Amino acid sequence: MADPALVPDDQTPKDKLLVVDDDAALLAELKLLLQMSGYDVAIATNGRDALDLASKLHPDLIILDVRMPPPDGREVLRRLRQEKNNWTPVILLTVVGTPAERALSLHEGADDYLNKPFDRVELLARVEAVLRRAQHSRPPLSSFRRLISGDLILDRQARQVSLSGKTLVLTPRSVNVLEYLMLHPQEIITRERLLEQVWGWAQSIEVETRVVDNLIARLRKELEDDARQPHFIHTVTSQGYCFIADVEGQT
Amino acid sequence: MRRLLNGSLGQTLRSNLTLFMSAIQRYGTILLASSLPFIMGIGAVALLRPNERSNVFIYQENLAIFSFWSGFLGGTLFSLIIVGIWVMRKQAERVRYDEQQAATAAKQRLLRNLDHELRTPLTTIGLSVENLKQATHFTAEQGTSLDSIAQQVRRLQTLIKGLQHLTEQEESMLEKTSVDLSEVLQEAVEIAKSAPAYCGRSIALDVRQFPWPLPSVWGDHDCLVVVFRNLLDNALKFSKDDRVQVRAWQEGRTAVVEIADTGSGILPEDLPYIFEELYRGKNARHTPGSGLGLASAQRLVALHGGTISVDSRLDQGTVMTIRLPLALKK
Repeated sequence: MADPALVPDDQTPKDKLLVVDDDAALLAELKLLLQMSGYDVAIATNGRDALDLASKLHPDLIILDVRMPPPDGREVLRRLRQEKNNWTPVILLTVVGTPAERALSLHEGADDYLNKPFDRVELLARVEAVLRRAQHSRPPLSSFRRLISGDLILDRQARQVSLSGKTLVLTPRSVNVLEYLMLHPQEIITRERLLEQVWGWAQSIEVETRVVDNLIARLRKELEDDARQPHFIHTVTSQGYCFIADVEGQT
Repeated sequence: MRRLLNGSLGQTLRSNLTLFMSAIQRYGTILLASSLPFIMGIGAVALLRPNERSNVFIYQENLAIFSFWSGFLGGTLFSLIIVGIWVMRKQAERVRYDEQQAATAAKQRLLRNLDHELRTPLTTIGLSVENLKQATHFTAEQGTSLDSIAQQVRRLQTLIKGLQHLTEQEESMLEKTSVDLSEVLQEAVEIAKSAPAYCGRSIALDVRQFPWPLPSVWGDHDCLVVVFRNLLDNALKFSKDDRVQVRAWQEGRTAVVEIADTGSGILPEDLPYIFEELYRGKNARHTPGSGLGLASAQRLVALHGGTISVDSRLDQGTVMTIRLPLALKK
């Protein structure tokens, strides 16, 4: 069953993960799953231990539950980034709440988010993608104000996009989609994930993935991107979309 | 005194004064009619006063004074009663509205808490099953049992996500623009028809565009597509081999959309509850569904300032009527 692409071969040193959750049962399952998938796993059951272990063990990635007794996941992330200047990649485990919370999530400097309930495949894909993207000691793209890819500039604070110096007229939702894609360059993003992260529509029977395609089509038109020979947004057949150009961050 | 006026007493006075003023505005005609005797009294006095020395006129003057006072008192009393009844009804309405709002908020809170509390255990069960399957070899029967646990977990996860979807639908999630309803309906019809289960079914779409097109509504295009697709899905699901019709037209400052099917209809005792979360009609139990679709549709339509209502006859069919306010012209 195990996807060979997701399991690192024996020659490469194992990536070290720190998993933090106050729910002992979930923590045990996560540890087992990640160990079986070839990672070296350390665990912490509260925010304070997490901060200690993050400094001591120098993990390659931290998986951090948001809902914990204080200091909660968000607080741990903030202290890690601001007080300790520690840029170890972080995946937050969230129970995505109100739209306000969701907007906050996109801006607080985590490398990625995973909404409970998630499954094994989702978790491993996300871990793999973040590890691949992580450039150590360099802050993640989500900590920058501007995302730049060639002529394309997305100002995350002003919520503005410009192409070759010309400001594009985009709806807030299109800006959010482009932002999400640019924050995860070279990663296949499924329509369901975009709906969940950007539209805020949880995966359920009501979800309509075609609305994603319509928005991407409009976005491509604005970006003057040809779907057949794209510079920016590539369609991965029956999987989703991928931002294929390089992205740099600028404060 | 000022504190008192700023406090709850002041608030009560002020709100009652506002109600009083709006009552006067609304019931101006009734007020005028009820004070007609009063006005007639004044008129009579004004007419008769110059001749007050004459005996005949003294009698008539008394009559005038009598009619003046009776008109004045009667008119005032009548208008006060009318206004009083109106104010009381308004206040009862407001109390009912507040209670309704509180009940809705409490229900939303309950659903949200339930949703949050179920998430972690569900994630844990799901991962446990997958870990078991990865680590150990099972007999075919044991494998089937594990698969059925995994399947039921997935089913619960879908339900949880549906609940989340429902509790989180807020105004701020919508991106409202001027939306062409006929485009929305066309898209929804295409999507609904393209589902493998409904392949070959026909949906007749009739948007009244002549002599002028159906004006736009103010709303979230994507969200409205989801609403209508859901309703169409229901219509197709509950009418096996019959046709489904979608009709849309303008009615004053409202766009009306009807989705009609010739299906099995809804039992009269189910009708009042079909928009409730997780409610499933008695004759819908053996048809797959989450029980969240209609609740979600109603909530999304309400976020657009619209309403949704249902008319159904057993074994004849069902008509869902959606009313959406038209976009104001700029």
